[in-house]
Amino acid sequence: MFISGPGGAGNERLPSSGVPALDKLLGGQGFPDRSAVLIIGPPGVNKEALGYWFASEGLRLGDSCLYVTRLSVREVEKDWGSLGVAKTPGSEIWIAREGGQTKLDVRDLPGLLGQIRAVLEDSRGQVRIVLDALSSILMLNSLDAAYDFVDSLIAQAKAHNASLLATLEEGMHPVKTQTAMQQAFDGFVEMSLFRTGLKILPLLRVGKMRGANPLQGYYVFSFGAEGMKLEPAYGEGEIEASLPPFPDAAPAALGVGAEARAFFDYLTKSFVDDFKANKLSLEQSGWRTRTASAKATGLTIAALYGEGGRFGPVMKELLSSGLVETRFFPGQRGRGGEVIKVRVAYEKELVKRIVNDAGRGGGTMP
Amino acid sequence: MPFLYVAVLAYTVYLSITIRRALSVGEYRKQAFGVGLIALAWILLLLNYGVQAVTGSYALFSLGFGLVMMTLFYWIDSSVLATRRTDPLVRDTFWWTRVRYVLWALTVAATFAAASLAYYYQATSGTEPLFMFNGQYGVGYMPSWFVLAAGVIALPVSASRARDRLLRRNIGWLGAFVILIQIVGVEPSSVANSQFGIFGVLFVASLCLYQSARSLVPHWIARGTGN
Repeated sequence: MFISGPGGAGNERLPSSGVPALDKLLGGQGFPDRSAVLIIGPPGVNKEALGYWFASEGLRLGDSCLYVTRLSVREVEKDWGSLGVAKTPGSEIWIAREGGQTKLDVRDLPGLLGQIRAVLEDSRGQVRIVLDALSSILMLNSLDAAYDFVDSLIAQAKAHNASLLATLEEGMHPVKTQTAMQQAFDGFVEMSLFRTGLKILPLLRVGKMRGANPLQGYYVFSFGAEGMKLEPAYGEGEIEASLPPFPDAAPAALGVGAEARAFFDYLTKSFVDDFKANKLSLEQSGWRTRTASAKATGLTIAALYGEGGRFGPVMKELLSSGLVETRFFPGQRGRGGEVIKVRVAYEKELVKRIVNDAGRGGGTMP
Repeated sequence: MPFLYVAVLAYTVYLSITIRRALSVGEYRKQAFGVGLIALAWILLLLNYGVQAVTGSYALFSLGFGLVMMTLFYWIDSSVLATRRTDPLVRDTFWWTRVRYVLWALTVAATFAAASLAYYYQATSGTEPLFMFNGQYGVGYMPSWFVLAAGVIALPVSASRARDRLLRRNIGWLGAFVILIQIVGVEPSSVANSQFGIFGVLFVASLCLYQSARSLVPHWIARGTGN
């Protein structure tokens, strides 16, 4: 739905999530300004509800709201009503499968991007976008096209003073795809079911949030007449202690250990520094010797060098994951010999996204 | 062996109801509840065999069997509706959102028709209507025709369209349960005999039903292990 609201440009308030308990968790005021936030969870936990409250709160505050859904407008309104989410009346435009002013075609990503752009350009003041079709987009298009779409959508949203909230189905995509999405967005919130002992708990946690220092830990969530309730899982005996640690989802999601991740992060930074600060070409950027890398990261030489000129365990781990690449550089030892250097495998889509994310601070990577 | 079978089914009922409480979206809540209902129905079906053995009423047995089939159809119905939500194109498999009402009506009508027929035959002829329960697809098992047809046709298609691994696992395990039940058959005579082999298969079937419920929870945490 799209409603032109009176919220003027320059309004500095942060976009509230519409759930006071979640706002509190995020530091008090809501999502970061002009942020793109991902809600991840398996089907049935009602992650869409966060989208309903996000949009509803926007309408209440006079923000402009755009709702993109793969369901019909009637189905969304039914869900919306069943949760008792208040809906401020207004002139509504939906991009939906059925019943909206614009029909959603998840296979036509340029068309969808154009439709969203048109709405954004017509809007004034703060804008909220809810995208409840991301999983469909990822499943029905090539990953490259889907990643490009997400990148462009986030860039457009930021350019038009918009905040984006998208939902992603857990268990429907490869881990690497989910990781790439977590990297692309400014923050993500996880909602899932956990079984411990004889109890089954719906738990929520804030994975990461740009510029915010969210309260860590798991929270039991429930939906009621007063909206969404969040209670710390600490009250549940040993549950918090027995939950899997998620200090940062990225290392686990990349499928590599902490040392390998630290090395990978160093190589990522090196690549960005070379390309942006040192103005090297893509071909030349990011190459580092293992000795220099060990010194910079604090890793042991043995972690990078194996016996008999082989690779060490950290190198092996990253190479087998396809996250880094190596190359011989001849004539760099002063004796006509060769030296092996390593860098992030920028050609890999996942790595490219991580590097782009790291380089986003001062312009875009190619 | 029957006690183990009942114990597993009873725990499945508890687990399903607990999962239902943790879920928030109607279709998924119903699906979880459906697994519990099936488990409960199969516990009661044992009782139903007892009732039939004591009263000798095939009408009562037929009614009980129809109610069991209704619980199975309840789960099939909620599963097809839930899988639709996880289909990226949100397709309505075989117009299920409309056809389901017809199938519900047929299943209910078949239950009462079979029970009425059994009652009428037994009352007028004074003999047991064994012909109605001859084989698994006799007239007495009429309610299962529509339920199994719906399950065999609609569920695989909708499951293949859904991309959710949890739902697929849930459907797969429950499918295994139904297949095992079909193998042993549901004739009162075979179950009443309490053959070890039959209860062995039923026990495995009950484990399948338990796995079906268990598969609806994505994260299982062992207490105190830290992972």
